[in-house]
Amino acid sequence: LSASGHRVAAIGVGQTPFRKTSEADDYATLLRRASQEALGTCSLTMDDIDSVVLALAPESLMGINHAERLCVNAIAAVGKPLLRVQTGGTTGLSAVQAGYFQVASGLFDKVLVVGADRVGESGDAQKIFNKIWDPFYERSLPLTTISMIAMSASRYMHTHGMTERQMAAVSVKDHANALLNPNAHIRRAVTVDEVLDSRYLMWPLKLLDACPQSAGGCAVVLSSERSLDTAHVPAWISGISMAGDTYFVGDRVGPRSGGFDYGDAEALSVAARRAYEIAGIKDPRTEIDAVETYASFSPVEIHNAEALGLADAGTAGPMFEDGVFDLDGEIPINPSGGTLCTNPISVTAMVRFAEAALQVQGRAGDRQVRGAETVVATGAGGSHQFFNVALLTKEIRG
Amino acid sequence: VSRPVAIVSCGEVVSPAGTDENLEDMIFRSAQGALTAGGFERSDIDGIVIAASDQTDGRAISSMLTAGPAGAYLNDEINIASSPGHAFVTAYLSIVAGAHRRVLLSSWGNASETSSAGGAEAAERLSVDPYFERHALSALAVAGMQARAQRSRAGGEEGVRAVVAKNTNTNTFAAHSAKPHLLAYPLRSDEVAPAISGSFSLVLSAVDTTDIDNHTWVCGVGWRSDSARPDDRDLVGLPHLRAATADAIGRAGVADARAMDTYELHDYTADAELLACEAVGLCGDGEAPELAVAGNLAAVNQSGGSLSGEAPFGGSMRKVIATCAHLSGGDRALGLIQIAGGLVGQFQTVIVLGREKPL
Repeated sequence: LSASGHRVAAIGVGQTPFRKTSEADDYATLLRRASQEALGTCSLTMDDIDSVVLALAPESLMGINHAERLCVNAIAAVGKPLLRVQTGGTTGLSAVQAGYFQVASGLFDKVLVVGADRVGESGDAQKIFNKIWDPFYERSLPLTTISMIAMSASRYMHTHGMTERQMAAVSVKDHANALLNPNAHIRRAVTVDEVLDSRYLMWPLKLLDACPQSAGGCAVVLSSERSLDTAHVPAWISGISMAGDTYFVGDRVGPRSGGFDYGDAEALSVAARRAYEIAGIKDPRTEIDAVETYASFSPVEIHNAEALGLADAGTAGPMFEDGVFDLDGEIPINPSGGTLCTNPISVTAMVRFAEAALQVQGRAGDRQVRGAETVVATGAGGSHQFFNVALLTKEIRG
Repeated sequence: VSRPVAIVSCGEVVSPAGTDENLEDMIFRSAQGALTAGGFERSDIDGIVIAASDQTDGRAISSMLTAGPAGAYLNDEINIASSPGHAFVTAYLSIVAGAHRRVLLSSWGNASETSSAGGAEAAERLSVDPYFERHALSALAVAGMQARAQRSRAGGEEGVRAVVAKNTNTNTFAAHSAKPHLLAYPLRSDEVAPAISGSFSLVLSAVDTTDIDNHTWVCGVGWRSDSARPDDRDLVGLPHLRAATADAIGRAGVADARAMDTYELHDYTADAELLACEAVGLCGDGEAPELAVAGNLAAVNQSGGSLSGEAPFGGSMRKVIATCAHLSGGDRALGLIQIAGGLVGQFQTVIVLGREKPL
């Protein structure tokens, strides 16, 4: 319960199909399509929306500085309150959090959170991401979004004995789930051997351990409790939080407080603890029904499971191999196929939230987790430094 | 909105353009200054809100670097990248919502950090539509269009000269040239805010968690957006600023904007200040130039405003700090702040601060 007594629910979800490129749809069209679908699922129009929050991550990807200014027209938000959130990969869920503040404060009843990405619009997205690093101390390693996770994974292998076969089990599961998700970008089954035989990007990461770059849009409609219509199916936001770690990866190497080091995801565990506390979750292993977690590479999903309290440190790898986190397992992780199969950067974290909301609403189609009443969504960004967690529930908690 | 929120401390670092101090140090000093001024430790803060502009800061994801010196390590943080006014609103609402008890809010601008040749002005030009407008338009060019419309309506530039004299009379951070030159017709260099570097931090707190008695209360906020296309917009009437003002003063329980004792308005140009005076309701349409000439706009931009020096993108948070100072002494009870973002204020945020706890 917020201090002002206002509960917040996600009532509408819109996603475009996610693909490698969106030749037919420009960025503005992706925003509009996602918005219209989200509004349609809760029988609202833009006239019903009090405020808009735009999720727009690195503008360098589209070559327009402060592109939120042009987006105002695309979303039909002229005259409305609109603001933009940019926290790297966590942007999509941070934008949901900004919208949550607006509704939970009692200021607004209906907020549209929307974003899109069209990575193919930039000449070479990887070159842009290579420039997020400190130019003097880290960029020349070379530190990239791939090598940062490769180093984390190799550290985790050293401390906890993770194997490449365990990483492959994550990839096989996510690709199998994505076959059930019509919006997923990568929709093909893979085997453990195929993953292990795929080419190395940077040891121990292989091509089929890695996320794609996707184009598409996502939107959610947040509502106050007082303005809910009887036809609305609420997915209540019972906890939401973010935590940021140090910018310099070097500051995260070696043992740290709480026993974490760069092989783990300390900031994710901090954000999760806060969200659980708000929601009154005491034992995540028994109280959480499903998880949509932002894992850009397969080993990230393994340490995320531990940071979220679903497994003890160093034990999640074998649990993935044993099917504990499969769609029909004890706690399904990424029933949508996850980031490994869909990665529209500005909204990847919002897609996690949207999929979690669909699960709680019972609207996830073939990927529906039976009895999903408490579902976690996470985001990750920066130098594997930003993490956010949202807890969506069928009943009001906290 | 039911939970009273106050600004309990401020910190600022202001330097001439081209300062040798790096951005991280500047942000750290203002954030630390706000904490120290309030007697806080970083552990007293449970929310960090920043306004970071990637291209102005010269980075693809600025907050990766800048959130840390703003106090974000392992804290609940968010970067509102569209406007420092939007960041203020988000910090405020996060406390009202009960998500945070005490928030450290920071914004900044250091033109020398930008990666675009030509500095922040060149980076700003990249925000214009690349196909139809970028070859002709920039923030300065659109400001010139607005100024021309204002002066045409006023029938002269006496009001503009009065605003320049008023705002640059005191508290000037960046001296204007003795021989102003034409920047974008009809704007001359002394009629446009000169660039400085600076970082600005505030601690906002729920009242039930603080025992500091030197509060400046947040009484009301409003923010609205206009079209991105200058040719779609009413650059003189500024309807979205009028709407944001109505939202803010209405939420503050104030019937008339003329009830304010102090106004910190957007004066990217002197013409913009005149138009803002009318849009926020300080005077009727077309009356501001005469009031300026008569010396009756003394309550506007007592800090010297942006014309006395403005850090790119995040610098307008200084108007909040200035208003806190105005309200901390004397008999001033209410202050209105306008923070604009985008080309000649496509995004408008209005904040009403008061010395008395809001009802």
